[in-house]
Amino acid sequence: MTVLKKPVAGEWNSGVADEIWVLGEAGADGELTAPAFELTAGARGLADALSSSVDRPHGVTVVLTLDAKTADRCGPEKLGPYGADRVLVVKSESLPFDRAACARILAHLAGTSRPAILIASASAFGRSVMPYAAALLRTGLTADCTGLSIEPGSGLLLQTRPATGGNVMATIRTPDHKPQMATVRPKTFEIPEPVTGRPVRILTPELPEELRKGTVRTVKFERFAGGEGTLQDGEVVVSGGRGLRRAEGFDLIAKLASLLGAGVGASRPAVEMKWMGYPHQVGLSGQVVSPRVYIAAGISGAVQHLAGMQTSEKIISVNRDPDAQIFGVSDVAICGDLYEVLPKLIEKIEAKIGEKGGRA
Amino acid sequence: MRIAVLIKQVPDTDDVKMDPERGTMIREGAGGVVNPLDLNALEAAMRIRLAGDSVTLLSMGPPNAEEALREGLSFGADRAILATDRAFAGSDSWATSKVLAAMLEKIGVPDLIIAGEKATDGETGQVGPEVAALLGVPVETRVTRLEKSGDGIEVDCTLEDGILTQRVQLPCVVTVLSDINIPSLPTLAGKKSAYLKDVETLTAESLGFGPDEVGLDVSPTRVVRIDRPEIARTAEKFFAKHEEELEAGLNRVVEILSNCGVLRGAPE
Repeated sequence: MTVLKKPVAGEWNSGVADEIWVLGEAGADGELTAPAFELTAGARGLADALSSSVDRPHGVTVVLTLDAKTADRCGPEKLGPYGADRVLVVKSESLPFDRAACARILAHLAGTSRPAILIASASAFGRSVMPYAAALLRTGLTADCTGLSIEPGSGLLLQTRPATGGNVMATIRTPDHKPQMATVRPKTFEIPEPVTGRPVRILTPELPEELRKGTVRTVKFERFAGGEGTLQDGEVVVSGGRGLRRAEGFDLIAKLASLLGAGVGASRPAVEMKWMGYPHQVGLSGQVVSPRVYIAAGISGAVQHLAGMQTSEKIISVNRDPDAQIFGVSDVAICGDLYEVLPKLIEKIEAKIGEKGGRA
Repeated sequence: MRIAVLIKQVPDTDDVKMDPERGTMIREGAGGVVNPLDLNALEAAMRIRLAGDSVTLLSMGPPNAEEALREGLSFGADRAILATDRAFAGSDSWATSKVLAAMLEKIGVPDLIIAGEKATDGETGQVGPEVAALLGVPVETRVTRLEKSGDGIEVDCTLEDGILTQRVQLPCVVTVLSDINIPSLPTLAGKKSAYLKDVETLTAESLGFGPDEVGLDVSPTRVVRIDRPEIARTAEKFFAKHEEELEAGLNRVVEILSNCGVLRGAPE
């Protein structure tokens, strides 16, 4: 239990493998999640860029730390067509919820194989396991990246993330430590068309047994009931704020969101009044989102909220106050009572979907 | 049980103004406050403590972060320690965690270490798990319920898709979300006693670090570029009280949504 006072700066550079690693993730049902495919494809792109930059081929390895009970449903070979050369599968009863055990296993594997780069999703899982593993490996980690690329010449990983509230983009490098680690926001990389016939090796690494042993015991995991939707699911996010005036106002938000296949967001005051759960909070103290369309209803636009959504492609806002700050970052501003505006909008959208022959 | 709460002083975002040209926060003039989630962490500590338990506040920051610790003391914490040293400047999350872990070892690793899930300025959320790793103890993140259970604790962690309930042995690091509690207000008596207490300070040297073992020099990550994406937008404004304007506004919204290809109908 000693704090290691000196990082092993530079020590690895002599023995870094020409590999990019991805920590993948399976859902409660045991199936691989979308970010596992996104990041595999993203890593493939980085490996190809790095290969041509330093003129040596680079491989892509995905590490999966899976719950032994559902691991059979994961199908690690499915990652091959998206760019994985190898998949290392570790199964244990304590995984993936014992974050420290996941991190110890990941750090052990990465410490042995010495990949140049190690990335994971900026999910609850990735955001716990990656910093723990980074500290064990005594290397740097950049949180919540929205862009990764290879710097020509140096071959270093350029990590771009929103900083100071999402209105400044910082580009970060990890010049002297390996692996260069980053957690990456969902949808940063697109899932490409699969390339069939790519060979992929599925390996079960041998591990010292004590790595799996933890001091954490899972009592239960209760999935949220469907219907409410999650925040980051869709191309569109519909958010409500204090202007809804009552908790039931979110029924209207949810109705519009479900028509659009959108995520449901909320401002901090709406969450503080318990109208919505914290996972839906958009802003500095909640989630930062950047959908193609963000619809803000009854949200005045405190800086703390704006910082969480202003990089959205298009912003539509509805507010009674003609001077609402939210209008300053909006593309379309409708000044009026949301209880008048939103039902009419829903009506129009339903008509439009009907006209296209969609299932309304 | 010995409890530690990690505190960070951050700019007051309720106070802060936005530079409309550059889209950045104007930090000058904004007061420093305790990171909001750290107040939830402190409240969680005060609620789980029993008679005889101690609560110690720890922070790394500039000398004026003492104010944040003093605010923390006014909620009833027993002791507050600030690590402050010019040599700490430019620390990234790893370099910060190194100092916090060294502070925790210096006072003897507490049974329970509680922190906010992330700070409103840096927003990395990495310090909690990194401190846990450096101490070699388990970590629970996104905690929204914290209770004693036997020799250890039981927590609910609010994940993206559900609630995870776990039992953990101590010592352990826990990072909390705002859902865990509503922080109480400091009492007048608490404020008075906070001003009678000393905020202890530690330097790099007193923590056993050489000058080249902390701060920017040992931070593995380096910011190489800052870009300010164009965010100022000129809204097309529609007033709903004029029926034709509302109609035009709604049509514009439908057009935008249609261009994004999301008007396909909801799956059943």
